[in-house]
Amino acid sequence: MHWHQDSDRRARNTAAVIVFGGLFGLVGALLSVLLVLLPLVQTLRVAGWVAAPCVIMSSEVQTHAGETREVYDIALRYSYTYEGNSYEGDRYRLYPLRTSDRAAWQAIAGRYPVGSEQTCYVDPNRPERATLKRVSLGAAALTPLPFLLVSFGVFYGVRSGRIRIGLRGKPAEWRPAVMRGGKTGPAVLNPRAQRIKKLVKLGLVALVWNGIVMLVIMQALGEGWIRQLQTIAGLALSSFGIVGIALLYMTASRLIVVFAPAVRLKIEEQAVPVGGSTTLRWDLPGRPGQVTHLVITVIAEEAVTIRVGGEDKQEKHIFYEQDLTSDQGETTLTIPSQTMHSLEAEHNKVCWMLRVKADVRGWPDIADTFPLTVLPAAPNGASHGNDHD
Amino acid sequence: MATITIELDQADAAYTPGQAMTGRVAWDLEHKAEAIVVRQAWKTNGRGEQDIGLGGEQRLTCHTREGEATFELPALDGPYSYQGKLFGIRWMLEVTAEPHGPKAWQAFTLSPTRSAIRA
Repeated sequence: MHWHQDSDRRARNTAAVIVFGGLFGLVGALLSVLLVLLPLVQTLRVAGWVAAPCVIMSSEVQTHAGETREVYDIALRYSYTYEGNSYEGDRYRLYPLRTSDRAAWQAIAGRYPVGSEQTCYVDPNRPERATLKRVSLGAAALTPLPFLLVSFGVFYGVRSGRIRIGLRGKPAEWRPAVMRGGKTGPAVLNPRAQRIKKLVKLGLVALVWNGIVMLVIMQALGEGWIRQLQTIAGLALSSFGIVGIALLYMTASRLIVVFAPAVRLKIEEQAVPVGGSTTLRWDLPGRPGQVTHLVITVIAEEAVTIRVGGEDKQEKHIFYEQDLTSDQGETTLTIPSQTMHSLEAEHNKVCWMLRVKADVRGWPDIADTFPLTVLPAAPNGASHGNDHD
Repeated sequence: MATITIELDQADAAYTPGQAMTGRVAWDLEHKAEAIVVRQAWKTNGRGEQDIGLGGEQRLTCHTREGEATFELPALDGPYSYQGKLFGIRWMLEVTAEPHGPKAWQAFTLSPTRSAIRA
């Protein structure tokens, strides 16, 4: 049983991984500026441009020599009339874009045959400026996404400890934050911040998911891909859309919960030793009788991280649960003398928490949890310190 | 063949936090070691990925290729020896002849009740 060899084996040299993540982040940021931010600014600038009828005078695919292969765009000319004056325009979209997909450009040229009547958009301040296409964000806007996701993944991995920094493994820390200089003493446990945190997390997921779906839909609509949506890709897109709507619904629900009345808990000591006690008080929010079925519980839970097929999964098991509810709005919380203290190792944890559940008339039901620290019983009355750093 | 052994004075190898852990190590090496190190360590076992932690250590001077010495280390505050449904925590004393000598281990229990806490 070679403990240190185990530790060394599990340790990884992550310097290269961090540089790799940083480079991907840099490329992702640059591409975001070029392919998302600048086109978006342009798009916003033309939001007020005015629709006007126009006639296509010429329309053909143009070939350019790229660095490694030929690239294409469209050369268009069209005439239009604005406020009684005639103009000619040659702009298809607001910013130039060349790609190697000749067939796509031919399809676009086919949609603007010579002599056909189309709609262009005219700058009311400078009517000599016009464009055929207002929405300029295309599928190219998705290009930075893989770079940003890789970079995010690397830095999330490092921050969460899934990717370890350093050439050698560090001995696992197990002590709760309180024993490493965290806060002790009385505390008011307000769930608002926790609810906002959950909202922000879910909101970000919904934003990214729906942003991608919207870009794909906009591109499909803009390029006439709508006809192809009956294919399998179309079905996939639909299911992505349903997930996006579900995410938006869940985000809206979370937003409501943020403003829902909250039971405010006050705890005399937020770090209680095994076998110790503290006083817990609470105030009911809202009108008298608005909150019913209040249940306050102290819970201890084991949580382990299991690696399955290269992915980390969490498994949890509640091993202690005690109802603390009383009619007085106050109770004594006693931690049993033969139980496990809080443990915050990397993959194996024991988490103590207070859970508040209640029905609130006119609002979603309350279900908040607050972390509680249970310390090892101090030996011979000694205080806890950084005793083995 | 080089050997090293470790023995605890307390027969049941069970300690409460803060209690002195005393014992004896003996070694018979092929070459004189730089030091004999007694070290506390814990590790998890069970369904989750393993965590390994180190406690205190004592370096014993080693003037001879063969010999014995006593050690004394205080038992730490935690983590307690534990047996849950998903994982457990085991404590060990490890003795090693540094830098490349043999190693030996002795399991012990650490908790206020002197037996592993059960979930």
